This record gives sequence, structure tokens and C-alpha cells, in this order.
Amino acid sequence: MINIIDNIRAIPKQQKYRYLLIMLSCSMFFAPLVFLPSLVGNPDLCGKLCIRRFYLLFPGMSPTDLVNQIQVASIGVYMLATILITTFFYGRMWCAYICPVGGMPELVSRSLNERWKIEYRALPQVPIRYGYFAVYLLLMPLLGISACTLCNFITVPRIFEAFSGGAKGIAFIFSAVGLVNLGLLFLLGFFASKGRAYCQFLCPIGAIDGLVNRIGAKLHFTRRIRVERDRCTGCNICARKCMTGAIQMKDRIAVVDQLSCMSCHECVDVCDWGAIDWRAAPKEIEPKRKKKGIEFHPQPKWHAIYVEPPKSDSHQKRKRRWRGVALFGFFLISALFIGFSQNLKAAERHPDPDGCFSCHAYEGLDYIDKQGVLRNASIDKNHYYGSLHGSVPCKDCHRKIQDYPHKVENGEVDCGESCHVEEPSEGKPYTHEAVVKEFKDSVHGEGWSKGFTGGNRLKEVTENALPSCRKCHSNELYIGEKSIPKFKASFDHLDTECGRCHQGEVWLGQFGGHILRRFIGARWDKTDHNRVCIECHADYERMAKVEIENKQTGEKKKAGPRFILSSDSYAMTLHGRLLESGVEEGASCIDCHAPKGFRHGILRDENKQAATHDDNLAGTCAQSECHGFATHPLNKGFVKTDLHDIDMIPSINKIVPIDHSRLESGWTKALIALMPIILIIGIGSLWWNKYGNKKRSVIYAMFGGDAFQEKMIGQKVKHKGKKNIHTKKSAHKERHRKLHHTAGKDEDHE
Amino acid sequence: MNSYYSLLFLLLLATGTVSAKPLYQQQLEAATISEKTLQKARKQIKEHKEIKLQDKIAVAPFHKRAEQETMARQAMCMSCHLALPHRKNERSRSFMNMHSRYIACETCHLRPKKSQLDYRWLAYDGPEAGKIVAPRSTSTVKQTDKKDTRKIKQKKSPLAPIVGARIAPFLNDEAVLLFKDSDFAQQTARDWKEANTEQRARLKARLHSPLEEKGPACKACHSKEQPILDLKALGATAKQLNAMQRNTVVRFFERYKKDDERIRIGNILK
Repeated sequence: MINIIDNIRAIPKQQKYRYLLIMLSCSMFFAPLVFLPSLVGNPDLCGKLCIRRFYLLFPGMSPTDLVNQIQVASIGVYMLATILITTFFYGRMWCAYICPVGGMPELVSRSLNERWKIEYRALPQVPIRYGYFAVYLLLMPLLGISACTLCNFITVPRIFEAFSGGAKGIAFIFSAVGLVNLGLLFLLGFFASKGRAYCQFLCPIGAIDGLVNRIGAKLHFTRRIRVERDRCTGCNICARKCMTGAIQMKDRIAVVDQLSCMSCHECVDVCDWGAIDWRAAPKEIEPKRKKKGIEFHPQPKWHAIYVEPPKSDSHQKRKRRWRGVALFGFFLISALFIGFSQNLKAAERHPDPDGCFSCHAYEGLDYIDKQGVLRNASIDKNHYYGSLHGSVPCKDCHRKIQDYPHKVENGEVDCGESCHVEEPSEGKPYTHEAVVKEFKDSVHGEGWSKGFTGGNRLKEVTENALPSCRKCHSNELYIGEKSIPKFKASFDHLDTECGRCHQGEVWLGQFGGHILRRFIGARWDKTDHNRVCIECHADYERMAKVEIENKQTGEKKKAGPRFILSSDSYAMTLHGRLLESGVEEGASCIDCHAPKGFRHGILRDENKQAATHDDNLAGTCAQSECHGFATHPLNKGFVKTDLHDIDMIPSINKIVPIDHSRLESGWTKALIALMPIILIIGIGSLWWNKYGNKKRSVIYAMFGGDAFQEKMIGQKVKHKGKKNIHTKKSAHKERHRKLHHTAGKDEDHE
Repeated sequence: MNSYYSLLFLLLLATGTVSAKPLYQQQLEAATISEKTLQKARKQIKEHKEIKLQDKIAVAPFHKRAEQETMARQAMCMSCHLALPHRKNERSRSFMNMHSRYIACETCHLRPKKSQLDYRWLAYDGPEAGKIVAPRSTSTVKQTDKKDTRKIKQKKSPLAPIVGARIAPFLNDEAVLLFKDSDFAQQTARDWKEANTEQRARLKARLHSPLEEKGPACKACHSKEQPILDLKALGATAKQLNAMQRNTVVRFFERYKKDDERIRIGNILK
């Protein structure tokens, strides 16, 4: 306990504030609060907030594709711009002081001992970083490796989510991808000396930021970490403390590499000679005039302020009166507009020619049938008239009903029949026949499309596992509540523009709405589409019963985990996550599985007609406003990106047992390679905490510590068994430093 | 068997000492059961098939349903009968069940020849439970409990002065019916549980002895000529009164000569 307090005391004051800022940032960005991301309704730092993905370059990419990518990450773009502007003037403030994803591993790493760590700082970080950045920008998109699966901006928030009990976080951590990312976080974060190895090597924002920092450092008016060479004693404490390995001792003088420096200020705080500072470069100013050796250049005084004299009272009153009139007029117009909009409620579009509402309009026409199903014969009249079928007389669907009590078979509905409503453009009776045909040819084709009665809902559920028309569709409102504001705005436009020729109430009432609904777009948005699919496909037990028949051989096969867990794996992809966080640019299930026609023709991947068949996939991805570049021949790897990757979902699953194919995936192999290293370092670290020799003044990391000393500090290391022995000079310097300065600044005694 | 009845009698006596017994209870205690009724009860118990209510079915109804009424405190009948008790008559079951939303079972099924009953709104639940509620038009009863969320629903209820109230028979300003949570009803439920088939048949016959299986015809209320219920006194507006007394469905139903008959809907307009 005392050790911990001592260690905290040993931290330079300014650095304590930095750590506090990182902690604050973690609490603002991550679960359980997720305060800042929640402000834009995007709790997992992906989607609108993503600052890492929009600049990926795909072969054959058009400016429109780039604009699409930028639109998806609209807030991320602004965020990165802000970060870069700040960096240009003040250095990498985001990376060092705010970024919770880089800051969290740093804090964890700093709380562990320095001995059992990996020292990455001696590696040639600039070539590695920009080499990887080039791969990230160009090669990974080309190969179809989703950069998102390696992104720390998912991993770190998910860890916090998991610890605060979030189901999604726990699911991610236990998936193969999640575990590998966790392993990388251990190796490049927690067990890396100073915990910033990911930032040094892999972070794409860091790479761009570093470049801007380098450019900014060239200019004298921007603030950077600068070394006063005359003052530097070459004590190398700054180089040892620098978390990014940006300081190298050259000829026993600290040299800052601005491509790697994060302006964290620690070197300034630990330099006993005041040789390092975060400042603008001093400018040589030549006095403009000198008189007898004294600087003399007075500034002229300019007056450019004109104060308007106060106006007379009567003028003020008049002004106020007119303001009142204008305000009243504005309110009157608004009130009229609102009143007009209110009148847009769905009018009674059909007078009930068969008189069905003589009975069915009564509330509470309930009974319990022989199967125990509560049957309700009351129809909400207002809802019906405002619904999609509001202008369809009852008997157009319930064709044969003639007598009362109704015979069950007379009330049966066939969705493929035509009804009496005329389709306005062709003047022909409207019919769902084409949709039904497409549906019949799809994988769900054996689902019911006719014979519907109120009484056979239970029979349908028990006898047929496939969805029917009415399973997914009910008689919903013609214009859903969500679309009403949009509808009202468009209606106003329609009235003035189209209304010039197409005049009259009837036109407005009957066709205006009909056409407008199409202008507004589909009645269902992508989330609605997904809701329908997920209702069944997320039901594991139900999906586990599905048998897939090979139509050529007639052989039936039980569905595998990939099919059963398809909704879960989809939910982890960017497609699913975007939609979940309200970004319409995400792709819904049918956007890929039935992008054309009436959106009912979902076919198996093996079917040559299927949108997801290997031959058609590129075209499907290249749909308008999606990945227009997908058809470029070099993007074959991208097109094959697995969007139902079971490595993205927990390996431990009670319902779907682990099968061997899951153990053979690349992620699992990577995990097997990472685990022993993490275990060895983890156990070693614990052992060293208890029994390690901590008396030596400077402790270097066990793995790579020697290389760091030789390359960055410029000390030669003599190997004698396991111990690091300092050169005489450095030992002397260490003693010298200790004599003159407080022990508080020597935080390596951990 | 005798001991069973004496026990029941003692219990009834015990409950009777606390408050005056409702008319229904008095009548069933005084009833003599004929062998014919017993036979019928035995047959009904033998042929009875338990109905298991289905939970929400995965396929939702195509047309939007009106919201189900949250059940008020239930009458004693609901100890055995389903909340929507009319099931057999294909023609009238939905309409009858609709009536059970605002008319107590006893209004139609308890029609004693000797006593002159009058009909009022009876509060089933809430602070006024078991008491007469003034009709809406002259209502002075206000729900004092501000937290009662049903107040919002109350506005929607087209007929009843307060939510869950039903038109029920009264004798000398005392309700003639029993609630499910009354001591007598609960004791009866316990007895039923423990009883064998024969005992059950006897109990069933006794419980139904004051009641009539078939209620009055539509016309008995939906008519201007001496209706059972004084709809105006019960708070019906002129418009409601007209709608009830000149009801299309009632007129259509009058054309039926037999229960299982089917009539062409087109005739509704003739």
C-alpha cells in the first residue's frame, strides 16, 4: 500500500494531471457511462464516430465512393480534422492527453513493474509505422482484411463494456477475434514498456498525426517539445522516460524525433536542467528603429469605433409595434400551417360497401375458440382507413363471405389475388401476384401465401416453420408514424408544385398521398427490414431445426453454426453496427440477400441467381451508394470479406456447440501463438513483484531492454548472466542526479 | 356427504353473521336440487374439456386489434368460467362477450321471479368497490387516487362511469352478486378442489340453481317498449339511447329462427 502511495507521489505533478485527464476521458468515452459517444447515439466508437476508416483506399475507387465513406463517418471526419489542426499548432494533444484507447493501456502498463516487459522503443518505429500505414491504407482493403477486426477502438471500449456487464462486450471478448485483440492489447499495451507500442506502430491516426506534427515542428510559431542543446547534459533521463521512444541520445545530447513525439511533456517534467520545454521557437527580432542605441518604435493609435447616437422614443415605439405585428403574422401563418397539416389525417377512403363495419366496428367482439386462442373480431375503424389496405373493401380479400355466421372457408385470404383497387399509373386492378411469385421462388417459398383466416394462425405456427406473408406483414398504417413529419413537409411542396396542374381535393387526397409515399421512400427503413429477419433468425433453437436440402441430390443436411448464428455474426459487422447506431448507410439483411425486385427473392448462396452467389457478389456490393468500386477486378479479396464470420462471436456457446472448423481458423491459431507469451510475461511479472530485485537504480525491460540502452541511450551493455550492468559513466551520472534532486522524480523504483 | 354439507352450512352461517348475505347466496342456500338438474350437472362435468389459453402466437393478427381491457376485480362466476364465457353459440358469442364488458353476469342470468331488482352501475374495483356508482351524466364520484393510471383509460370508456364498472342488479340498494375474492367464493373454490365428481355435480347444480342458462333476448333491452334496463337512468345520452334501441345488429338477429341458421348478410339491408 505504502509502495503504491510512494509510486504515485513519485509521478511529476504535471503528469498526474495528464493521467487524470486520461482517466476522465476513459470515463467519458467508455462504458458504463459512454457519455460522449451517446451524445451522437453511437456508443461503440464506430459508425459516425469512426476516425480510422474513411480514408481507406480501394482500387477503382471513385470520388463518390470516397464521399460515401466520409458520409458514413461524418463526425469522425470532423474529429480527425480537429485533432490534426490542434496537432499542427500545439503538438499531439489528442494522443497524449485525451485518447482513451491509447491512454488506458499506458496507465495499466505504468502500474505494472518495468522489468517483465517488452521494450519496443528501440525498434525502427518510423519505417514500421508508415509501412504498416501503407498496408492499412492500400493492401488491407485490397485483400479484404477488415481493418475493423484489428481496431483498438473496438477492443478497448468492449473491454470496459464487458466489465460493466454489457452483453455485447462479453460476447466480443470471448470471440476468437476478441481474444486475439485482447492478446495484442496485452503484448502491445499492458506488457509493453510505457504501454504505447500500439500507438507507435499500428495506430493509423497516430501515423497521420505524426506527419502533421513533423510539419508543424518546422515552423517557429508552433509549440513543440524543443531541446536547448546548450543546456542538455546528456543525462538521458528524458530518453528513458519518453513513452514513445521519440528521444534518442545522439552525441550525448537529446534529440527529439517529431514524427514520434506526442508532446506528453514528461521529458520537460523530468529534465533537471530545464533543457527541454514545450514552446514556440524563439524568433530573432530586429528592432525597427534605434535612436542612440535605444529601441524606439512607438505604435500609432487608431480609433475606428463609431457609436450610434440613441434614437427618439417615438421611433422606438414604432419599431416595437411593427415587431409585434410581424410576430403576430408569423404565429398566424404557423398556426394555419399546423391546422392544415392536422387536416392531413388519412381521410375515410372507402365507405365500406359491404357493411362489414355494422358489426366489426364494435369494440370487444372477443371469444376464446376451441384451441384456447383469443379471437377478436373488432376492427379498429380509424386504423383500418388509415392503413395500407384502407381503400380496399373487405370483400376484396375475404372474397366469399356471404352469410352470417361466416363460414370459415369463405373468409380465406389469398395474397396473390387481385383486388379492385386500380393501380393509378396503369388503370389495372392491383395485385401482389408478382411479389408472391418472387416469394414462392425464394428459400422461404414454402411459406403460406394463401388460405389465411383469423383462426388458423396457431395452425400456421405449428405446421410450417417458414414465414408466411402475414408473419412479416400486418395491416400497418399507410404512412407510418415515423414518416409523418417528412410526409407533411413533402405534402406542402406537392401542393404548390404539382398542385398547379393536378388540382382539386380528390387528387390531393387520393393520389397525392399515394405518390408522396413513394417519394418519401420505402415505408420500412433498413432497421425495420432487419427486425423482421432477426425475429426468426435470432431464434437459435428454431434455426437449429432447419434442414437445408440439396435440390440436385435431394439430400437433407442440418444447418451448421454459421447459419444458426448468422444474426449474431451480422450484428458484429460494420453493416450491422452502423444500422444499430442509427446510421442508414449500414446494410440490412436484404440489401445483400435480396437487393433487387420486390426484395422477397432471398436465395441460397449456391444458387446461381442469388445476389450472394460468388459470381454476383461484386455487383451486389457495388449497389448504388455502397461499395461502387467492388466490381474492379483487383477487389476480389474485398468482395470475399466474410460478413458472417463466426470468429466474431463467442466460442463458448451453449446452444451451438463448438465444432472443429472453428478451431482451425486463423484467429484461433493466432490466439494459440499469443497465449503462451502472455502467460509467461504475466506470471513472470507477478513473480517479480514479489521476489524481484528492485534495488537497482534503473530497471530496463527484460525483453529488448538491452537494445534500447544501446540504441536510444547510447550505452554499451555488458552481458553477465541475467543482470544489466551500467557503464561507469551512466552510474556516475545517476549518482550525480540523485545528489541534486528529489527522489520524487525517480519513478523507476516500481 | 351429510357432514360435507353441514360443514358448508356452518361456514355459510359464519360468513352470514358478518354481513347480510347477497340475494344470490340466499337463493342458492335455499334451493332444492332436482335429480334432473343433478343429472345434467353430472353430464356436464363428465364431458367438460379443460381449455388451455394460448399465449401470444408468433403470427400476429393482420388487422389491428383494439386494446384488451384490463380486467377489473372479477365476479364469483370467473372462479370457474373464462373471462370471455360465451363460446358455444357461433352467432352470438362475440356479441355476448362484448356485453360482459359493461354488464354483470347476474344482470342477464339471475332473474328471480319473486323479487323486483333494480339495475345500477356497480364499481368492481378501486376505492368505490362494491358500491353503486352514479351514472356518468350525473356522476359526482371522483377518483381521489391521483396515482391511479386507469384514470386515463376512463376517458376512453364509452359507457361506464368509471373503469371496470358494470350494470348489476340491486335489491334494496344492496348488490345481489358475489365477488371472486369474497369468503363464500373462496370457500366454494376450496371445496370444489377437494370434492369428488359427485360432490362437484351437487355443488355445481346448487351454485347454478338461482341462475338461468339462457339470458333474455336482445329485444328485452334493445327496445323502446319496457326494456329491462332503464338506459336513460343509467346515463345513456340521447344518441346512445337511439343507437341501442334501433340497433342494426339486433334487427338482423331477429330474423334468425334457429340458433344454427346462416343468413345472407345482404338481407341486413332489406
